[in-house]
Amino acid sequence: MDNILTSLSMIADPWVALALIVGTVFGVIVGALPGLGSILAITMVLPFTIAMGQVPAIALILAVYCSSVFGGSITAILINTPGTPQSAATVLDGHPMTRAGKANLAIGWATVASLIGGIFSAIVLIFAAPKLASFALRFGAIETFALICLSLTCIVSVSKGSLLKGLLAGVFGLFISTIGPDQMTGMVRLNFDIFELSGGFQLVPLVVGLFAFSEVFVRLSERRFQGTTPTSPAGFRFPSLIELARRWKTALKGSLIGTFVGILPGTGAATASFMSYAEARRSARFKEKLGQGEPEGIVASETANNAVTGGALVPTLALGIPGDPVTAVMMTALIMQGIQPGVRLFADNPELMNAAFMVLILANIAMLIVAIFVTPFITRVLRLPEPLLLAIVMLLSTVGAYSATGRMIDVFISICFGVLGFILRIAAVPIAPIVIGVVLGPIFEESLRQGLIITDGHFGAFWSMDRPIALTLIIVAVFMFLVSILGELKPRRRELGYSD
Amino acid sequence: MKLSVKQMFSAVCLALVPGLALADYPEKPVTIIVPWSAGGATDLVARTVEPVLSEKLGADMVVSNVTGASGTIGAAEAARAKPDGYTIFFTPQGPVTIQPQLRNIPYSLDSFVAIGRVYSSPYMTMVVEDSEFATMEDLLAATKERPGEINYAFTGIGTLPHLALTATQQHVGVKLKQVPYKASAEAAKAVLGGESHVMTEQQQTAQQFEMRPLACWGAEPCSFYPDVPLVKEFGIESVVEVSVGFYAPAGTPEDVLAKLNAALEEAMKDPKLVEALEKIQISPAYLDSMAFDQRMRAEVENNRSLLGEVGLTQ
Repeated sequence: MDNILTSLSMIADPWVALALIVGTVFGVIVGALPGLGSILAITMVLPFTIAMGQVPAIALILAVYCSSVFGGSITAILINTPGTPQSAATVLDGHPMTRAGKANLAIGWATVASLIGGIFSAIVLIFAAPKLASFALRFGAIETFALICLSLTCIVSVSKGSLLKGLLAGVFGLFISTIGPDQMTGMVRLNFDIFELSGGFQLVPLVVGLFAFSEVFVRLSERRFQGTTPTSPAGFRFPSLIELARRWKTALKGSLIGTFVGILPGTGAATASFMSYAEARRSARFKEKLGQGEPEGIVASETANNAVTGGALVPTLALGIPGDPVTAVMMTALIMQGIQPGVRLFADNPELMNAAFMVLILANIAMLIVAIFVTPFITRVLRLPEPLLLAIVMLLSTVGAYSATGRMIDVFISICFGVLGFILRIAAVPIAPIVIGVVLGPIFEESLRQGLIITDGHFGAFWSMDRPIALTLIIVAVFMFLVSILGELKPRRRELGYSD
Repeated sequence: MKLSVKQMFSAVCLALVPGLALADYPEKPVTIIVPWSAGGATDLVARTVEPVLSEKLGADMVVSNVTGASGTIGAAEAARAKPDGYTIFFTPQGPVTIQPQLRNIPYSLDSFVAIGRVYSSPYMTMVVEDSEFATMEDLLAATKERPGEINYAFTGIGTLPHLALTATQQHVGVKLKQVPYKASAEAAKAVLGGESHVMTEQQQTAQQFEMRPLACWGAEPCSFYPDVPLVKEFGIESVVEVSVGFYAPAGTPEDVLAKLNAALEEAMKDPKLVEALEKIQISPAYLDSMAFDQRMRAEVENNRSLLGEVGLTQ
């Protein structure tokens, strides 16, 4: 109890409140700008934390972290362009809602879903971090491989329209991810002797191209410059409690999936939101309407990506092992504050940890408050004349693509992917599977090859009873794959006039 | 206003002058290229040094992260930059002393001139606290007796831990089972989780994850672990230490280099910087331009023979 009181006195500091508000506003804006994203947002505030006390510094960083993940959904909903790859799955239902004139409501759903996911994972972090951390350690290369197999099954679920086209797009994404240096041997693959390609394609320019630039090209080709989609009222509208209650299962599942994926190093929020979306396609109450502007799709994606925040902090704080580049930067910030994340942190410094957890919950609440006051201004971009809006999107996307690695070539790569995305959209090929392939490809390959080295090349050893976690995940993956394939095929048969 | 031919001629001359006016260096911001992402270990050091260096040099500095392909993309960018002192390069030695030997890359160590080293840290071979290997002898003997049973975690071909593994492999004469991981934290996770048995990393890693160091790869004993034996006591004649420092593109004028060298030397003596570096667990180890250059040239030679013997040089 003393602990809690000490921690409370640590956060009852005007600087903490200020850090939360400033951090949240900043995070939402940076997250919403296509191509910038959580890592950049946190790196930008890093120098300011040096001069701050421990708790305000933690508050600033956690606020930027949570709100930048949420911020990505705003552009996903408003202009069909995820601000960060984490929000790529939010596009699927978020933008159709905007087209239907319900942008304010869609943002409300995204905010509430992010809040639920964030708070859920924060609570898990508070009560179970050390235990879950030891679970994360048991999760080795082979287990990771099994998890990625399971994640890849979401390609089926996000393949709107044509399953075949979706699968091909997914395979295309996997192939793209093989360009560049081979982690195992250092060999550079498929660069066609162009030195600039020897680093492979970066995720951010690719996502910016496939979504943002292609969106601009599509709109240009539609030549609808006057009075288009934005009949949406600007502003922020809460979803009704009843509507929310009807989708509680998806919110809970999304939070669980996000927390779980967050705890396991190496996978990340983009994977979590796609997995959760895939699960919604399989089991949600309104699964038939998913992809046409059904809030449940936003709930699935946004609870999951924000639940990753608390989950990813588990190995970061309890083991000192950051699960992704975002938490790696956060860990740096903590070390600069003289806090060494690791096994001893929870035992040696419980007051500080409790304060950090309370701050994490407050950061999620700050996100809600800021969303209510800030998003009405952002949604006004929809009122802009379309040529102006498209010009702004082009400008921001160019900056975003450039800032990923600081090279002009990434801007060109991004534009090339924009053209590709445009062609694919015309051909009705879904784009999300490409992103899934690119995100999962490297870790799929890496974990497979690590596993093969460890088992001396025996693939069969991957699914033995000695590895119950991997075996379970593989069985679930096969099950999910079959279920989703059958689910996709069934309506087709009905359309064609067959009866079941 | 109409310009006379004479005025126009003078204007053109003036525009050409900056090439001659280098005595005024620095007169605009200096870009520091860091070949790893923002927030990483190298970037963090660069951003800690930057304000102090900028003060000593009397110019604003901007850290620019040009990333990818084991640091070679950033290095190529720096090698290609105009050698006028307005672009300098901050990197550990991997991209300049190892990578150019592994594959075809549009630069080499000769594309740069050394400005000075900022810090150095020896690598250590380490195991978990309750590992079956009590000493380095145990580990080497077990590796020899039970080939293929001990998993060595490392961070990929062409990294410094890989050089240490190669040297170990030569010493024991048995092929080591090498499991590559993307980053040192992931290798540490694998060792803590029991998937791999031993790893070689910078000494901070041993501290951070409470691992038990078996041997130190430094020329001198490791500062955090002075009692841990050096690898040369076991007959391994290699030194593996990270050396992080500043370089300028080759061809940078002497007077500009002199200013950069002096600014770095002063910065490294500043207690403010020493304290800031210690806060992020970096022990400063300044070497001036000459000494740093010699050290890196010697490394290129050593690495060439080491990598050549395992057939990795191009």
